[in-house]
Amino acid sequence: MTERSLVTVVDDETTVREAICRLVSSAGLESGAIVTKPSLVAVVDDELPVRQAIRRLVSSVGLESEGFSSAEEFLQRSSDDIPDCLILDVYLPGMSGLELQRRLAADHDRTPIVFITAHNDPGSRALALQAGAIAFLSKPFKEEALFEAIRSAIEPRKE
Amino acid sequence: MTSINEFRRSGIDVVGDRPWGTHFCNFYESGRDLLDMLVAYFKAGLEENEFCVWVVSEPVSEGEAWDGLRRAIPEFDDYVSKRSIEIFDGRDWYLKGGVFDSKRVMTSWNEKIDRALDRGYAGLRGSGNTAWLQKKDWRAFSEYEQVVNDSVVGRLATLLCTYGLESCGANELLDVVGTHQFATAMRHGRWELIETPELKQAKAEIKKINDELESRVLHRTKELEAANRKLNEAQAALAHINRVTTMGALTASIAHELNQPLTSIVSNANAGVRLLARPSPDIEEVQRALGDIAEQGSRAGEVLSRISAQMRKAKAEKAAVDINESVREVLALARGELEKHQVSIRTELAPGLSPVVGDRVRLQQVILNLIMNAIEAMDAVVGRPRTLLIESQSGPSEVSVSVRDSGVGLDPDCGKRVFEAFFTTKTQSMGMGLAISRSIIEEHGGQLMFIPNDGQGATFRFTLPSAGMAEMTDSLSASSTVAQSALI
Repeated sequence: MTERSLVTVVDDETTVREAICRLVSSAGLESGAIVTKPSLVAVVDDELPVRQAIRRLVSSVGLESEGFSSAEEFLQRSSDDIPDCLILDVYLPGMSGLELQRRLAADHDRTPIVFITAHNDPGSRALALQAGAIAFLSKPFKEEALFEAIRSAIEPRKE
Repeated sequence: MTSINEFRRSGIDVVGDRPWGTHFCNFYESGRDLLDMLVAYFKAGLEENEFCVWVVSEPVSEGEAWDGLRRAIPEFDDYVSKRSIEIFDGRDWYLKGGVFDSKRVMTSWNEKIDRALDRGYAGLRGSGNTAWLQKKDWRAFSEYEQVVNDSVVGRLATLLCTYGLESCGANELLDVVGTHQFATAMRHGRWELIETPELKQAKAEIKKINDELESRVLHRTKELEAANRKLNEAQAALAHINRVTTMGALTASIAHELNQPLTSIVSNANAGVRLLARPSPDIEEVQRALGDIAEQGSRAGEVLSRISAQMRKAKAEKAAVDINESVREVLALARGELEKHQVSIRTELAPGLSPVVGDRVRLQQVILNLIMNAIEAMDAVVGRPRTLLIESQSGPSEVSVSVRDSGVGLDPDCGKRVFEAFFTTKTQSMGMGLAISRSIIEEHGGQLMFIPNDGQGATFRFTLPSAGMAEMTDSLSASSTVAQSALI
């Protein structure tokens, strides 16, 4: 998994660059080194306006993003397309977000997951966090909350 | 078959129509008056298909009686040839063998009644004159009249006894009046009605009872109208409570429907601010974000107006309603609920569906109730798809909507009772939803029914008359004028 961790970032936006450099430092790596590639955030939400807006927000801080309208579509993506963080809606047509989380765990895929939902649903929150989700955000969320969650996701987990 | 309660035309203006069993008397001054009256009396009897028996004595002879009738009735000979009328001399009728025998006379009248009925007449019309009556027979005859008076009630007969006024003293007058139901007399050149005090009193009492009854009916009608008004108000209030309760159950769904556009709005706005802060901002991307914000803002606004329409306690308003559009709007409110319960929705809405006339909010309440019931019915379903199919169809004069679920279904016994108030299979329900829904649909001239599915689940289907039909049946109500103008 280390090859997926962010080592270095080039971004034309100072705030993002600084924020990510801080992350890199806190991971005990050298910071300030130049470029490889920006982190990739996958957004799975069945509603296009929501998916689009989150991708736009993620892109505005210099991260790469890709969108999927269902869990099935996410699972069918090409194998070399490995996100650093998964932003996942709880209720989806077909396989639900929680089912996808279980499926990934069973496949030993440890992609960090940030759940989002428009339903007030304490049961799902507990299940998601127990199964290791980074965060469980209620829509509409503050950008700080989302960025904080993404940061936690792409920060290399300490052994 | 004639009824004993049937009224018969007497032919005498002052007497009018009287029921069978009428026994009355007449005091005449001249033979002319008597003849005129009796001719009219028997003419009416013949025309009413009654068997007529006229017992004459002076001042009217048998010949005068025949002639009088023949002059007054153009088809009199037909009646004669059919033997519909018999005329007897008073002395032959009453004084056979020179003796007045009341029993024998009574038997004669009874035989005439039997013959009338045997020969297919409606009954007997009779009249007897008493000019032959002598002082010595008065008491016996008076007793006979009393027996006739007591026994004629309930028989298919009308009897008129005529007395010469000059031959009656005060005592005789009192006797005669007392033994008949009422009397007629020639006074000041015209026939007048003289009633016994008992009859007058009875009539007055009947009138009083009638008046009281009428005022009580009036009073009860007013009470019923008021109660009906209150019932309507209560039904409207109950429908409103049910609507609000249903919307309460939909809170989560509504929150979802608002949170989604809000998420898009907030994230797009955040992104826009950041994109503009860049040294070389991507203006086109910012424009797209702003466009999405506007669009999602309107979407949230629509959700809110749909909710407030459902929550408003408005009076029933009739207008042209597009059923397909109504279904779509309700589905937009229930979408979050369907998503949460993992119900997949399929709609087959007939294109070009004719509009119906009605109250859009109440009709949507019915659709929403059916959808919420379907969602609940499918909650227990595990291991097979939960699908909801909403179909609209156009008939020749009606529009129908079916809501079909793949839930646990209802046994036929429950199916019969689902529309009863307070009937519920759910643990947390008042059991009013379907009862209210049915009353709303029936108010609109339609029908709501339960149809068990061949496979799994149940279907609820309602029909509504399409707008053209509704106007025809409802053209008197002012509200349909609104509907008509809305259709033009």
